[in-house]
Amino acid sequence: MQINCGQYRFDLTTTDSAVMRSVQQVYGDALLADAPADFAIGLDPGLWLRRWIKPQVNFRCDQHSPFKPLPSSQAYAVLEWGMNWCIAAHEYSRFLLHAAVLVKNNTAIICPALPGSGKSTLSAYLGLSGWSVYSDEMAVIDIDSRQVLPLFRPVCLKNNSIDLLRSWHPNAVITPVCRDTQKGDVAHVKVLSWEHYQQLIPVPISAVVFPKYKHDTELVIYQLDQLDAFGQLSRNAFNYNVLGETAFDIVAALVSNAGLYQVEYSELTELAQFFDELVQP
Amino acid sequence: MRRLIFAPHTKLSCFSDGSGVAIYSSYTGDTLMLHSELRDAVMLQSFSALPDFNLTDMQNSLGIDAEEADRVIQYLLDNQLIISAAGC
Amino acid sequence: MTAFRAQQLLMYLAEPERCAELSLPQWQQLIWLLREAKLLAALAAALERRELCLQLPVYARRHLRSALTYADRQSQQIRFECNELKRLFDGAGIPALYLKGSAYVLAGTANGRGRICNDLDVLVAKSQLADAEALLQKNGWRTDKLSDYDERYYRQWSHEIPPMVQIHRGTVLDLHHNLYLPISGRAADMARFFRLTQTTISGALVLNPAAMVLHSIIHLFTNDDMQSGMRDLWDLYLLITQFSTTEFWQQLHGLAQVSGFCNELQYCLSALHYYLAPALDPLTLQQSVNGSSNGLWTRYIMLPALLPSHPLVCRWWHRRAKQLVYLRGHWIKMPPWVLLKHLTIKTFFTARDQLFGKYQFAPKRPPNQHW
Repeated sequence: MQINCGQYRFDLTTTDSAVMRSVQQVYGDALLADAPADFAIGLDPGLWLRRWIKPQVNFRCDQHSPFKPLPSSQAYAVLEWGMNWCIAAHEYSRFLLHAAVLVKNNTAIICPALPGSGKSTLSAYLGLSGWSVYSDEMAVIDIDSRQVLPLFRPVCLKNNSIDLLRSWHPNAVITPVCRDTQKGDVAHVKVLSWEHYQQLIPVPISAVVFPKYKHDTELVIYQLDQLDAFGQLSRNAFNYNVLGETAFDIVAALVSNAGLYQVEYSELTELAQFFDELVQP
Repeated sequence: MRRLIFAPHTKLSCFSDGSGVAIYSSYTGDTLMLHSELRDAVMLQSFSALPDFNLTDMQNSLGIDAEEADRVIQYLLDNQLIISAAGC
Repeated sequence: MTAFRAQQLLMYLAEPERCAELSLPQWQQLIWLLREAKLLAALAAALERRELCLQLPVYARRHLRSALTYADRQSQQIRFECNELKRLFDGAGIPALYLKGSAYVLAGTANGRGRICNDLDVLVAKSQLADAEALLQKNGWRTDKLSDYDERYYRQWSHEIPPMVQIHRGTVLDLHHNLYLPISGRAADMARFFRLTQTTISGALVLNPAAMVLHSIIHLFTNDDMQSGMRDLWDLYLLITQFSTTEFWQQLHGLAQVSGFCNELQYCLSALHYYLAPALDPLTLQQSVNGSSNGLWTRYIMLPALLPSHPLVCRWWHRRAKQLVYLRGHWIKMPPWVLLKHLTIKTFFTARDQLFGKYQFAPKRPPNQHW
């Protein structure tokens, strides 16, 4: 079956019916025009002995398996991570930052993925309240225009945020929870309909925000200096090293032109308000 | 005092808030960042535009003491980002 | 889905104009195949040499650009590492000869652009091997701990020492002292090969055209692992096309004769004829007609074994050919008593790995722990 993520297409081979159901849930409304796929991927059952004792799933990108096999109950999460891996390991025609991309008024805010940033919860929250989530993991930046491109992907929720999101949005489309993955319990929530995705266009980045979740704190906003932001962004890019000078130029332009902030927050509503101010036309 | 220049394979980006300079080397493929204590963008800009510089120039532009400037220069030399100016 | 005709694969690289006729589904297959064969960047380089990129569909252009960007960055890294190594070796008075991928990039041969390398290959005289290894160890190159068996394999039988890794940059270096395994009894006379060298513009020592091509032939056609077979054949095509003169062919034949690699040269000519005949220059075509072998082993085993291991071109009989070449690769390398031991140990581990999954023994982690 084909998975259409907008910028990338995957040709998936699997016999796991639970995975196929989740794929249908998340990507089912995407148009499958007659276009070539970028990657041939597969979820294979592990080795023969393993099919009965602790069944495993092995992600395959064409003829290679980048990860060690994982329990088959985590198959859908493995698929989503595997798709990220395919893009990150092969894409050098665009600049890839490990960051969430949140868009409103045709302006993007990117949140680099530092541990403890809570960017996925934030992405899901904003995605279901009027913002367009271009990605919760990967900012895909066009090298020539330096604008960020939309991806048609779900947001990866972890642990408590799964129930939290369910309580905010009882009707949200969420895949079954994969328990005890290397990141804890994981589920994917759909934040874009294909109809909505098709309206999205490449947009400029107006702010880089490094959020930090801190229990019981007021919203505190620090201005970040360009040198620090440069360091953080270049370290958080998937292909900075391969793109070399091209990436250097993009990051240098980004920190010169965008607002740079570090934010401590405990209430998502307060953070959302700040984000709204950042994208006022 | 020894005159130095940025190696021909380097590219500099001076930050407009004066926080420092990022240097890319197309020889090693590495990026290095120099932090400025002065936070003076004009000063950085003119430093990077100098045909060559010495320890004092670096001290004045980044707002660091001689010992620190010497360490920075040694590091930049080791990483082949700067070289001795011709004829010195 | 119509798969590619295996024999046609390299012709898309040799005559990139052919790509203009590809449909999108065919592009998809070609890109998957060449990515697996480590030849996608080579196609991009071939298209760029003829300025054909702009006419291609966006889908193809993006993948080709990605592949070429990666290969170019790798070349930059190779030039840098070789310069650093050269400084090191020059300082210690150890002449070092750059081989394979490093040599192609440094010498700027036609195959230098768009070539994917796994590691740097450098050769020093056997008498200076210990000094060279110690020098590298003192300067940030270290050797990963190997199993006792692998350690012995390298030290007693091989023409190279265990791979060394640069501690800061992760670059992998294979330090050789011969072009071929001494235990085979066919090791090259390195004193002769050290005379057959040239100096690149950057001052690095590489083999001269005939010796460079012969080494590339030895490497491909004595190898047990044919995973990069197509890529290596493409190397040979570009090198030979670049060098092909009457004098070059005389030297190549002479060198193959004195060093005992005439069979391998014959396999090479057969492969060029089989996969690339319409694209050969008149001299090479004539060589390939006269020098090809029509033997069963060449036709049914050697030639098919060069195909990339991808289901789009690789059928069960190709896989069988690859297995046979694997056995032969071991057979010609080693005397039978060593071979028996070598295969038993390898097979024992393979059986163990198949039963439990190899990752139980060599844990492999995703590159990014945040996912």
